[in-house]
Amino acid sequence: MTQKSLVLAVLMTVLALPAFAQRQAIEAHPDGTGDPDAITCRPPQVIPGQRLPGPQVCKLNAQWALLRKNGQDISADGRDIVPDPKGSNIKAMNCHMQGGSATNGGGQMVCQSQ
Amino acid sequence: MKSWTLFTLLALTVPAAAQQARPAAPTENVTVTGIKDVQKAVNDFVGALTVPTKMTGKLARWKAKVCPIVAGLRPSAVKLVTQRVKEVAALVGAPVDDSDKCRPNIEIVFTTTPQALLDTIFIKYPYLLGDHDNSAQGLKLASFTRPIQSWYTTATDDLRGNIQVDGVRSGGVTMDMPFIPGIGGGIQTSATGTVSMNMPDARVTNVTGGRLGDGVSSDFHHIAVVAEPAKLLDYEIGGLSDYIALLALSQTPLPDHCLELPTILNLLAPGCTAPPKTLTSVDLAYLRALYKMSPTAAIRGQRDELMYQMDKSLGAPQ
Repeated sequence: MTQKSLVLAVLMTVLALPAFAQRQAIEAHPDGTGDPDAITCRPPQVIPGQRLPGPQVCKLNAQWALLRKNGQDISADGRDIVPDPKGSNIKAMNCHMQGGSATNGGGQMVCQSQ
Repeated sequence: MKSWTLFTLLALTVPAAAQQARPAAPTENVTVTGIKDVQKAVNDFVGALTVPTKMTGKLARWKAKVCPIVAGLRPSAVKLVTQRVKEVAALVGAPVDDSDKCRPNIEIVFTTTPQALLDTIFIKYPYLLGDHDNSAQGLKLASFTRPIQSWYTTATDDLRGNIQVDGVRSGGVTMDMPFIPGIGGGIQTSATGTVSMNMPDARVTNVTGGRLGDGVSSDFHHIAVVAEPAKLLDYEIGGLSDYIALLALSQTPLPDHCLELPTILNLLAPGCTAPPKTLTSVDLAYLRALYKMSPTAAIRGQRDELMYQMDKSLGAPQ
């Protein structure tokens, strides 16, 4: 076989998911509607017990749609699949500390349905 | 999280009936006698079982040392399946990593909820489903429809040995070319008179200029095998290990009918009476031929090589 020249071949394989390179919409609670190959990002969310928020989570609408269909969401830290707090069976909660004081700490977490 | 740990974490409990560990049966020695035209049967077999990769259009095989990991079975069964995959790999000439702490590249998961596992893979690690162009293809790949299925992530190995995983976004390629006035219409040029072309999903591959072969080959990067124990209660773990070994060493589409040549793939194919319960001489001939063929040859040449080697092994007239 002739190997006289190493040809730098650019394989213009506009392969995986061409829509990746396109615009990225941002929604607080992406539901997967719209073009399944378009990307929708969820803005950073507060991670309980941490000062810094989690990362922005970007996924294809098809992936968000599957998550919602399964009643799931991505955790605030962007790592895990968790039950969707806005799913049909689980309502989002408002939580706050009740009781205790700045000096003695203590108190109790109280959550109420929104 | 590393992708390979995902499987281990998601592997769920399985019915005890599917976990009965039995020693792997020795390889079945099937003489291909009842078939009138062995050569034709081999051609059909190779035609049905060989799937070229999308990126190179060639057959993929392991270049990296195989390191299987099994989850969802009792420890004794885990050991049996792992060992069997390694044994078969060594038998057919595939590279094997014998280290106990090797990094797994073949993940075999027995789970009672295979579709949930695949949904998770589609959402978090879609490249493990194999090369696909859009989400519709990805969702189709992520459908669990058989008792045992496998998914192949391939990589392209170019002339200089650069390996790029197929289907994973690359950084793209930017080309600067001199701008020739009078053509190009509305293309914007820089002050230096060059035009910049950005191809976000393009990749660079080094090839030969020869017609006989481009110097590019396809390797396996990762293989996932998922099994649903509830659908496998009637099968022995030894036979299932052999079935899985074949899937883990070659990109094999599962047949939807009984194949003429005796093969372990008939074990779970619909409509097969008395299918082989271990790897057959046909399976071994196929795998040996796969690991013997020229990885850089074109698909037609690779198939011819496979058929020639198999004919030779099975005693068909040349």
